[in-house]
Amino acid sequence: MKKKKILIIDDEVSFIRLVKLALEETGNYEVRTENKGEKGLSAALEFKPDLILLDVVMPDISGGEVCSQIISAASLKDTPLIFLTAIVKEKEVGPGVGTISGYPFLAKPVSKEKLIKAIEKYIRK
Amino acid sequence: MSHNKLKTFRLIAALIIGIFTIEFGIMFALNIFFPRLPALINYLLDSFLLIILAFPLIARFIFSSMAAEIKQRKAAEEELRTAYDGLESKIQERTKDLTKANESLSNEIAEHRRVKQGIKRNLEAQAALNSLLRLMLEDISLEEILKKTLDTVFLLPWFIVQPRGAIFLVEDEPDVLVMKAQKNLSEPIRKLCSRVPFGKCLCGKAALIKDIQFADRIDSRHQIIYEGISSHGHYCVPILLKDRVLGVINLYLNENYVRNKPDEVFLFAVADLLAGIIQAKRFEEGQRKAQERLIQAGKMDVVGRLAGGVAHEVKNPLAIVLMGTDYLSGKISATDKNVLSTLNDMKAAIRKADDVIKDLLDFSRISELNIITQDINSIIHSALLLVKYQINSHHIEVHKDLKEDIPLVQVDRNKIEQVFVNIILNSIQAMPNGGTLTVRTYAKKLNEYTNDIDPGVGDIFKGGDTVVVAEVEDTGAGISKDNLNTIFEPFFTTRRDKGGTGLGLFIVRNIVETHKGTVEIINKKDSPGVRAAITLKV
Repeated sequence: MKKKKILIIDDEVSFIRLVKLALEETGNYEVRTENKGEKGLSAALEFKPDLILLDVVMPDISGGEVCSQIISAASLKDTPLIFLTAIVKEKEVGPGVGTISGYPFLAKPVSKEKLIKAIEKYIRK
Repeated sequence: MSHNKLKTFRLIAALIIGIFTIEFGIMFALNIFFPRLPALINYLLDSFLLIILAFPLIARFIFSSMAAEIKQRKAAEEELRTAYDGLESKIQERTKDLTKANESLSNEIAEHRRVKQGIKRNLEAQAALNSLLRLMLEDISLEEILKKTLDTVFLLPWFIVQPRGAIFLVEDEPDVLVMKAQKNLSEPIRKLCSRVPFGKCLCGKAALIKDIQFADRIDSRHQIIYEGISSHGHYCVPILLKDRVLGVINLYLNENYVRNKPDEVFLFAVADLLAGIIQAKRFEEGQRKAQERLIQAGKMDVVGRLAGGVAHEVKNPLAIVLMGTDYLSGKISATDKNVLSTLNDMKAAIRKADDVIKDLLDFSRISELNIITQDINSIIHSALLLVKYQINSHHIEVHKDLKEDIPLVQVDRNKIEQVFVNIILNSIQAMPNGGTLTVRTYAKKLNEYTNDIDPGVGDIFKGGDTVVVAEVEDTGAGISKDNLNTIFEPFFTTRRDKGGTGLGLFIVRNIVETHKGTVEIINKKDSPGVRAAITLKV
C-alpha cells in the first residue's frame, strides 16, 4: 500500500520532528516538515501531500494566510487540511475535531492516538 | 361729777347731819338725866351710828367699786376675748398660709426631685445613645453591634426591663424578620423566633403596623408560645428608615409592667440610631463589595491578558512533551514497569497543566459574549446532562424545582452553562459519599423597600427590576468561614491534590458579572451544605 503523504507546517521544530517520528513509525505515512510558514506553499506545491497539518500562530505568517495561499493554488485546492493550534480548547472544537471556516482543527497538546484518528478521518482516500 | 354721785353725796351729808342732830339731842337729854352714862353711851352710840351711817356709804363704795371692777374686768375679758378671737383667726389664717406654702414647697421639692431624676435619666440615656453611636465607628460586624446594643440597654439602671431580648433584621426575604442578635432567650424561643413573618406575634405586628407594640403579659397577640413559657410582657419597637422596616427590637418586661412615655421615647431613639447604623454598615458593606469587584475586575483584566499569551506559550511545549512521551511509550520495553509508570505520570502531569491552561483560556474569553434570549431551565438541564456521569458515580440524588413559565434571560448560553457546570461539579465534589443536589429557579421582582437590593450592586439592580434566580444546593460539609472569603480568588482550591485548578469559581463569578448578574455562595443556615445563587436580570 502506498504511503500517504503528510505535510506539517509548524514553527515548533521539536514538535514537528516528534510528529514526523510518531507518524512515520506507523509505516502508513510519509511525512515532510516545514518550520517556516512562508515556505509552506512551496513545500506543498513540491510535496503534493494527501493532507496538510497547519499551525495557526507562527511568527512570520499566520496559519490562516498560509491556508489561503494553499487553497488558491489550483493543484492544492482540494488537499485536506487540519489546523493545529494552541489557542483553542478541545471543548471548543467539539468532542473530536472541530472546524473553523470549514476546516477541521486540533487543539494542542494532542496525543498521537487522537492525531492519527483525525488524519484518517480527513485524509484524501 | 356725775349727777348720780352728787345725789349720793347729798344723801350722805343729810344722813350725817341727821345722825349728829339725833345724837346731840339724845346726849343732851341723857346728860341732864344720867350725868355719868352719857360718855359710854355716847361712845357706843357714836360707833353704832357711825357704822350705821357709814355702812351704806362703805357698802355702796365697796359694791360700786366691785361692780366697776367686775364691769371693768368683764370689759377687759370681752376685750381680751375679742383680741384672742382675732388672734386665733389670724393664727388660723397664718397657719393656713403656712400649710399652703409648705404644701407648695413640698410639691416644688418633689418636682425638683422629678426634674433632677429626669435630667439624670436623660444624661444616662444620652450616654447610652452615645456609646451606641461610637459602635458605628468600630470595625465590628453589624451583628456584634446589635449584641452590644442589647447589652447597653440592659445596663441602664432606670430601665426596668428583664435582661432578655433580641434584635431582628429584614434580610433577603421580604417581609420576614430574622433574629440577628439575642440575649438570654430560651432555647425554644431562639428556634421558634429565628424567622418571624410580618404580622405574626408581637414583633411581626410591630413590623407590619410600623409602630411600637406593648404587652404587660402574654396575651392573644403573643402567638409564638411553647409549653412552660414564663409569664412576661414586651416592648417591640420597629426599626424604621423613613417608611422602610429594617427590623424590630424586642425587650422582655416583668408581668404587669406599666407602659410609660419616657421608655418609649428612649426606645424610639435607640431604634432610630440603629436604623442609621444598619444603613451605614450596609452601605459600608456595599462599598467593600464594590471595591472588591473593582479589584476583581483589575485581576480579571490582568489574568485575561495573560491567559491568551500564556496558553499559546505553554500549550506548544506541552504538545511537544505529550508527543514525546507518546513516542517514548511506544519505544520502551514493556517489561520495565518503572519506565512505563514514569511516562504515565508525565502524561498525567501534562493533562493537569493543560487543564489549567484551558481554564485560563475560558477566562480570557469571558468578555466575548454571544448574547441570545434563553430559557434558564433549559440551560440547567444541559448542564446537568454534562455532569451526569459525575452525578451517578457519586451516588447523588438530584432534586429539581424549576419554575415553569419563568421569564427568559439574555445570556451567552455556553458561558452560563459553564457557570452551572462549575458550580454543580463543586457541589458534587463536596458530597464524596453521596447526597442531594437541589436545583431551583424562580423569578422575583426586586423591591427597594425590602432589602432585596444589596447597596453594593445598586449599579446592577434597581427597585422594580424583575430577576431570575437560580440556586444550586448541596448537602455536603459546607465551606469553612476562612475559605468563604477566598473561594472566588483565582487559583484558590482545596482540591489541588485531586486536580483542582482553583479557577472554577473565579470564572463563574466573572462570567456572571460580565452578564451584569450576581453570584452568592453561602453556607445554608438551617442544615449543612452550601447554597449558590445566581441572579440575572430579565
